[in-house]
Amino acid sequence: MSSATGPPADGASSPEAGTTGSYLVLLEEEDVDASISALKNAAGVSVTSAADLEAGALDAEQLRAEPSVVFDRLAVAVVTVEPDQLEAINASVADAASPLSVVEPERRVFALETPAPGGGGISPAEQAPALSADYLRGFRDATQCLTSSVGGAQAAALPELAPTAVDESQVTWGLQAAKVPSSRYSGRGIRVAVLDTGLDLRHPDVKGRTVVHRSFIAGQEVQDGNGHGTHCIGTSCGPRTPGRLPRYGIAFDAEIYAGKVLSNEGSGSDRGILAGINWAVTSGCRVVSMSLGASLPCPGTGQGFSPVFERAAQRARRAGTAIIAAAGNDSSRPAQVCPVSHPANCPSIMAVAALDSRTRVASFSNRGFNPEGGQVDIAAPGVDVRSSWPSPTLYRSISGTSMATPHVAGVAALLAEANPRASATELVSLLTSTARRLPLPAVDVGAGIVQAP
Amino acid sequence: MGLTVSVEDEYAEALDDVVERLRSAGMEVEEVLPALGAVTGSAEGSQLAALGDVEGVSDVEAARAIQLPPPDSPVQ
Repeated sequence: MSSATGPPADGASSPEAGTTGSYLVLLEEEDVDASISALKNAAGVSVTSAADLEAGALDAEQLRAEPSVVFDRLAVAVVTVEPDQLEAINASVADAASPLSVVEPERRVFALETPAPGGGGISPAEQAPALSADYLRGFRDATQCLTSSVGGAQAAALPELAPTAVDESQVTWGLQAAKVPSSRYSGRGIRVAVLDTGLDLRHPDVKGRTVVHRSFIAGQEVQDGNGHGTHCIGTSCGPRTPGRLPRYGIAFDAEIYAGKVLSNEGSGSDRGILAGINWAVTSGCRVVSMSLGASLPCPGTGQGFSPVFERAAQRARRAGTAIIAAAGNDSSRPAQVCPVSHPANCPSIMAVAALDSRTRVASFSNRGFNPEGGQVDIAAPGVDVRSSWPSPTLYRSISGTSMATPHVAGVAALLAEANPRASATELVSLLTSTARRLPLPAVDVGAGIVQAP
Repeated sequence: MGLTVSVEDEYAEALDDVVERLRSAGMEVEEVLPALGAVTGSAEGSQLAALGDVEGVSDVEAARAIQLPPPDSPVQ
């Protein structure tokens, strides 16, 4: 409930700079008529409804002529009133029972200035002369060498130079960066499919969890003989209190659907992956995490996504399943930056890039060169990510867009729990709209770093 | 050659009919995936064009191979 102060009490009615002297009043959407009556009764204000005027819209003449107008569909009134009338409206707004809830000064608005053509920027001639790549690398290395050698009192005085100490005693840096520890969601009731090398079903941290599993690799059980799958399932769905700290898992109450579409040797095919996706969709999984891909030619602009996978992903979405895949690790930045891999380069599949603990793009993380599908949609922690690993190792830190992907899948499960009626498309929108924007190119990080609800 | 096939939206309900036609056109069908409107299997490379012409088929692709780096790699 907010009220507005009126023009100066000395009667000189010059409005505050930037305002018109009129006021906007927020009416009750469900009962505009009651609101109009309230305005009349409280302050003697008569409003003309925009609906009453021709075509339901006001032209400039009418806007000027009518002192007070109500836009019925927006449930907003613009009123021109005397100070005592404003006081009466404020009093009504302060009353919880009143249908009027907000009053604020009407602002003047202006077109934003567009830069004059040819003006405002630095001309190419004025820019720094072109320097060779080797020169620039040498300069960069020299400054890094100097600044990284700063220690002791100097480092304390310049905290931005010292490497950020990462405290992983309780929770991995990745979960912290994704704001997971403070989330009240657990993924309870949400089915998350991880299509990978399977899962170490005997890992102590799997105990007590609902795990549905299926192998799509002829001759191999879902039991993970590789490690990759166990690591990814750990990140997306690992326990809140693992056998050994730090906590590394996000959706600790989600139902795990472990689909083995990659062999213990890490090999798979489009056919097995599609079969895995089909199983996930028919099993009612709202999220599918795929830390896998086939590289596109590099250098290259990432031409051509798979029509078969794109159609499959669209159908999966319509059936309620969002597919999240790794953008790929082919790059060696800055020397070589490669396009997003298949199948993450499908428009209907979310492509995830990798960040390090200083929120920099990982050197191996691919870029969304091709606007026809091969875009990076979002980014997540993907460097030095600790998670579960098959016995006897139990826990391990590795890097990759493979590690970033299950961070997004885990958060997607939390969002799905928080928004039970959200469609798959809405879930994807929630992921990108709630991501934290970064001062990095969107082709590298999409909407930014994923954030838990 | 491993293949993945996608079916036109209008034929999604009649998937089994499309599968029969694919078989007649020489495809060895491995999996029928109704939730995705897709069929996987294999055929000779020379038959790809014919498979693409089958009524109800929208796309035919060679199945790509996926390979992870070795488990001891630092980047995966």
